[in-house]
Amino acid sequence: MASPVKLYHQEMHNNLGYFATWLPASIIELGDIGVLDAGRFRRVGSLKELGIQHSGTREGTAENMSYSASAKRGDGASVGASTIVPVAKAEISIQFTSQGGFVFDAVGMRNIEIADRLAVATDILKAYERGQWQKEWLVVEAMYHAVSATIIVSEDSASEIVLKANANVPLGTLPLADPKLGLSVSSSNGKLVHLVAADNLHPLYSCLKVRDPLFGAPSVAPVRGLGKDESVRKLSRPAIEDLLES
Amino acid sequence: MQAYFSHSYRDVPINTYFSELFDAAKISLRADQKSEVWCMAKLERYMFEMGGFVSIIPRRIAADESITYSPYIGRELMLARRARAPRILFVDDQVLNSHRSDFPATAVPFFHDAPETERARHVEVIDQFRKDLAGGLARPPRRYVEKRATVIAGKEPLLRDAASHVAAILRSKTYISTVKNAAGLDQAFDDIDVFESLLDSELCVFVLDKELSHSDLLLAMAHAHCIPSVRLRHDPEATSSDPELSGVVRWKSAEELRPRFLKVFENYLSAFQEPSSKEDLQRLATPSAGGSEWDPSDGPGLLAHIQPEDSYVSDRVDGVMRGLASLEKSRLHSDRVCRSLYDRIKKERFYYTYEPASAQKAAQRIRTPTEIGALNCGTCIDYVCMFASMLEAAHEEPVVVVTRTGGRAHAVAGYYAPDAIAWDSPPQLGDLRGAINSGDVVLFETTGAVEARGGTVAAETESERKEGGSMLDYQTAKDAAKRLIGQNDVEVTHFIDVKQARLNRA
Repeated sequence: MASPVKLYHQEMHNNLGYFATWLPASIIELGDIGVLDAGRFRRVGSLKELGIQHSGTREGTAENMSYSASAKRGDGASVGASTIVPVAKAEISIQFTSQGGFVFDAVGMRNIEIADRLAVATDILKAYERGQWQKEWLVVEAMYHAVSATIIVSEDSASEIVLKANANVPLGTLPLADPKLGLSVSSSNGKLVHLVAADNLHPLYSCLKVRDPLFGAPSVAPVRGLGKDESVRKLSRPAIEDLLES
Repeated sequence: MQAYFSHSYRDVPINTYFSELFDAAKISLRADQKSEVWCMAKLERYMFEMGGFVSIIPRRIAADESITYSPYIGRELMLARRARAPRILFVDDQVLNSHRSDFPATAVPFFHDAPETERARHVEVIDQFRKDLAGGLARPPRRYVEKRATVIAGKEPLLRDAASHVAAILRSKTYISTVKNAAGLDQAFDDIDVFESLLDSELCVFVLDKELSHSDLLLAMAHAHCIPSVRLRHDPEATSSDPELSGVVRWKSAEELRPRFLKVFENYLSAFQEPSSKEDLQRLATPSAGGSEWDPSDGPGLLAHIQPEDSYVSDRVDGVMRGLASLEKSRLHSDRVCRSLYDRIKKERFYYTYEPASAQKAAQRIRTPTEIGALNCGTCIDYVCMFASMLEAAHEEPVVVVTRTGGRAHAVAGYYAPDAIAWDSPPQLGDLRGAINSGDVVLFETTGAVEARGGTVAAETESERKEGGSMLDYQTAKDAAKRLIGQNDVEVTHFIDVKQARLNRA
């Protein structure tokens, strides 16, 4: 079954090159092993369970992110990154005009990835050769952690949501992921998946697979001594189509 | 009223400023089309066919950061002084301060970043120049017999044969050519027939030995009178076929003589251009020669233009790699390699220009690294192929990205990090953005390593170019490439993983 929220997946991938976690609150961790199914990462195990350890992680700097598509104000004006316009002083209304239309607002987004990718690649290939690794498996090698995020995705071609703050402040330019706003859903209409100011999410991930065919690489190597192995060349990244059509 | 326009091709904004002032003064400027052939005979010919000489001398920053200027412009100025051509010189003020004795006292300074600051002074001297030319100071045309050529041979049989060969080539081009020589010192000084033959000829060709001979005296006379002359010098140890700054063309064997002579002679026969707009000046700066064709719809076709074995590439890469301490593969090592190659090319002071014209509308000509080295210029795809060639020669894994933004195509180069994981199929825009963010793919704006004056080439800002002296430092070049790929309306038309593409083609 294909992803029900293609637009969300496509746009987030187009912006950042990562797959969007679906459902957005799903638990996903570095080193998780799984398959793609209906636009989701279905966990089947972990590197640890296969006896593959990774020595540590690399982390990027934290930043705030804001993306949206096919999301409009109630009055019909276009909604972009600074999309959200107050209905009343402490309320905002967002209308979605296509399936997969979304608002993604996150604070403290930080990229985290497996540090020693070469070693992990070597161990995965050994597991593959031992028959412990299935060809269709993917491993999560990087992801984004959000301190707080508001993610609203429409599963209908038309839907609407109204958010309300617990303080009487204008919301127009404030990040909707800011937990201090105390946002909550005032009303909604249509089929929507929504997380409002949820904390400690992993809304985006990146994964690897064993290259198919594994042994399609050339068998002749230059004679230049024994450097690092080229295990990473035997792994590849799945395309967004693999997710959308899963 | 026409004047020869001696200028630096790369400084289009400065050239545009001055050419507009001359245009307003009704003085037409004639300029040579940039080519890889330095043809003294052509310049000598035109020195007498123009009423005057206009020289715009901008500054260059040498590798040691000192202020200098183009030796070719310096040579043209020397030629004009020798021809006693009425002249007007505008010289960058810093060049004038550093090299005062190189220029006549009449040189007028300008500030390179804003020459219009002294517009009133510039207009005034150009107006006086116009009055001088109109008032009878214009150089009268040289008197000679059209299509007459004198070939002066050295003493050795090899040189006499070579002179006969040159005379035959000239006859085949409808010239009336005679071969003469100077058997001794007295003949060289006093043979008035030979001297008058030099003066009356449209063109002289000197076929001389490596060592000075009596016939060199005749060359000295032609030189002093600014008679258009091709200087062919037999030199069994010659290493370059290119004409030297002095105009000398060296040849080793009879087989080499014909192509080397024809290269210069055909340039001599080509006409000067009359630039009247910024576009004309840009066109003049774009050499028509060079390059081989590429179909821009054929991404993998770029592989043929990525040439790690090119001698220019291997020379530069060998030099850079010798200076690097470790060859251990790592992200740090790859960054050092790429940064060092980038900084090495910056020292060449190449400049950005358009692609050579192509008869085929669906094709673009791409210059080889050696051609870029010879012409000192290239367009973005030329530099991208050159850097990809160098990265491949340095055992990195180069990538090339061709983009389209609002109808304009651009290209950047880069490499895969040693621990990068590639894609099975060509990456989409999002894949590329993700890989750049994670450092798996490092891209940089290759034109940042060359001068682009008077504007930007791609996603760099004007202030970045200005701060870098018309170039970009390596980090800014990476930022500019990242910015390009991050633009809302950018499309990736080709992504070429050079190593993988070569495997696919094998």
